[in-house]
Amino acid sequence: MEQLKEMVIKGKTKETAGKVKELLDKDTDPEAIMKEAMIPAMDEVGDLFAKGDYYVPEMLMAAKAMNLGLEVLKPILAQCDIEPLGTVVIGTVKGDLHDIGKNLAAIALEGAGFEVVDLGTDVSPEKFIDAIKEHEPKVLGFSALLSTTMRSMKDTVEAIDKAGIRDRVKIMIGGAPVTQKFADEIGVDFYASDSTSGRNFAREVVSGEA
Amino acid sequence: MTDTREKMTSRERVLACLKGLPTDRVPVMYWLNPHAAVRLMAEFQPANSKIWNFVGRWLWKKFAGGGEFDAKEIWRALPLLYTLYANNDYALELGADMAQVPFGTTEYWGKLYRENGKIRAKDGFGSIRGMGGIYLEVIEPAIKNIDDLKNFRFPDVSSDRNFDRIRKYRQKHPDVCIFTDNFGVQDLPTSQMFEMSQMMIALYEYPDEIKQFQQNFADYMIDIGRRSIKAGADIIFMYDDYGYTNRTLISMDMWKEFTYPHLKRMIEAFHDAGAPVMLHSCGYQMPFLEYYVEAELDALQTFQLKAGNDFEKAYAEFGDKFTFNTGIDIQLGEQMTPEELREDILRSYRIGGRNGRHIIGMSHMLQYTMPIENMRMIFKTVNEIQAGVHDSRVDR
Repeated sequence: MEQLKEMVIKGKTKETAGKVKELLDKDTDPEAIMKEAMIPAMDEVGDLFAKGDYYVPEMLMAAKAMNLGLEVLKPILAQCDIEPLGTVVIGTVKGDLHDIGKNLAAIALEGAGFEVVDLGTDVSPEKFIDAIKEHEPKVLGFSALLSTTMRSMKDTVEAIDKAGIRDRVKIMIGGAPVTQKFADEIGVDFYASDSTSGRNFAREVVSGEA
Repeated sequence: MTDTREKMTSRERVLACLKGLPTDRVPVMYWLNPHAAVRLMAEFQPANSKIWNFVGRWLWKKFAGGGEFDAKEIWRALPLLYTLYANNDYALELGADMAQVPFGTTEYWGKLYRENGKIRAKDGFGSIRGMGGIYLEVIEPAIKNIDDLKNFRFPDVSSDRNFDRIRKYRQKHPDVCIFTDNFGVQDLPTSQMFEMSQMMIALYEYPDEIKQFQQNFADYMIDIGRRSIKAGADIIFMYDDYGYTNRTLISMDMWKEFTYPHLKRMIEAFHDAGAPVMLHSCGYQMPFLEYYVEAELDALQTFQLKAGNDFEKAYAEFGDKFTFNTGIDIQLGEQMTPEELREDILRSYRIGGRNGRHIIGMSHMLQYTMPIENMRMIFKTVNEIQAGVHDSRVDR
């Protein structure tokens, strides 16, 4: 298990799937593979990223290694009926087509065991509202790269409030132009300065601490 | 730095500043998003050209009715026609010393067409763009996989028509400092030609192929830069984003392995051709500064405070080695009061204006969303600085 964990951390994309298969062949509990190797591996990757030891390529390589391992694991996990930690819906707000920040957030959240519903880019407030109703997420995440599209976050929060479902979900926002001051102004629950802090906030939400 | 008593042309002023020589006042660069420019024409200062002004004010009215999110696509798109005018003639009218004049023909930068009722453009590199808000963003990159990367053919710029715009502007404005676009090997290929995640992964999985592509890309850009200089451009304005908020995009080791060798040789090539280089690099820049010195970079733009850059610290260490083009915080400025924004600009001027090697510049393109009072305060404050009201330069 420790070897698998190291493979994911180091982004060993060619070896991870084989290692997962090897563990399964030895009757290793698939849930244990997730909880003792994959999730802790991505946790550590997130921490390395937050500390500045890992950068975007290393995060993406680790995520790729994890996903290749998950491709082997998921069919087995589906039979075991293992529940994710919770559901998080994320998207880049309306008018904005940039996705790297959102993608990094998705990696950190999936790595932590959340089910992530990624709505993509240029997501309208209506689409976020529909997603809340359909997926019942614990957390909603908005990303924006441009100061002009950042304002769409405010519109989306207002639309969710107007739809009467604001209290159903915790909202976190992130992106290059976003600040704590802006987050406070528009009334969201958390400003995620990076993907790791977003992941940590989502964990606090499901554990009842936030 | 001793004040000269003769008034300089903007060209003389900027080029002297880049060399660390005395100037009559601090140079200024304005960088305007075209939607911001038409707003300025309507609400702050009309353009000198009656036609540009009339159409600009009309476009602002049509766009402002719905804004970025509700205006029809055509009204979001049409102001983009002002991109060049906003950043050369109109920027000069507002008091800037630098005019942006890119290489290439209209066809090179993007052939517009409609697809399923949506505006699309195919840029010179083959990426398909669509309106995302107020920008023509890449929605389908030209390079889809590593084989595409290996086999990529750069767009043909052999025709001299690609440099006519620069040539004509130089003839029309002999005293204006012209800066022209060029691109470094990291950002454009990553974000505009190839999908970002794939490119980042390819740094690990296909390093040799990436290096070969970067070599070819740099060669291509060097050729374009040389011909731009020959056509009359004063400064090569190289776009290459290396950072984002409080961190670099890739590790320094990776940057030194893949990006830096080309940055260095491109700067050398442009110097040999007779022009200084100003690097536009968004995001956190602090770890790169010593390498910019080593590469003999002439100027760095934008040096964003929001990204974690410390202008006071950086200027103290490197202010005598290259020029910082910064000081008008567009990102945080939107959320400041006009008085706070004024004080912020003056704070930067007190740091950089002290010894020269400072161009007062915008931390990114001015956006239409900035409150008009803040926009007015920017130009008022900079005009005061240009008039010597806040002169903090020390005689040496």
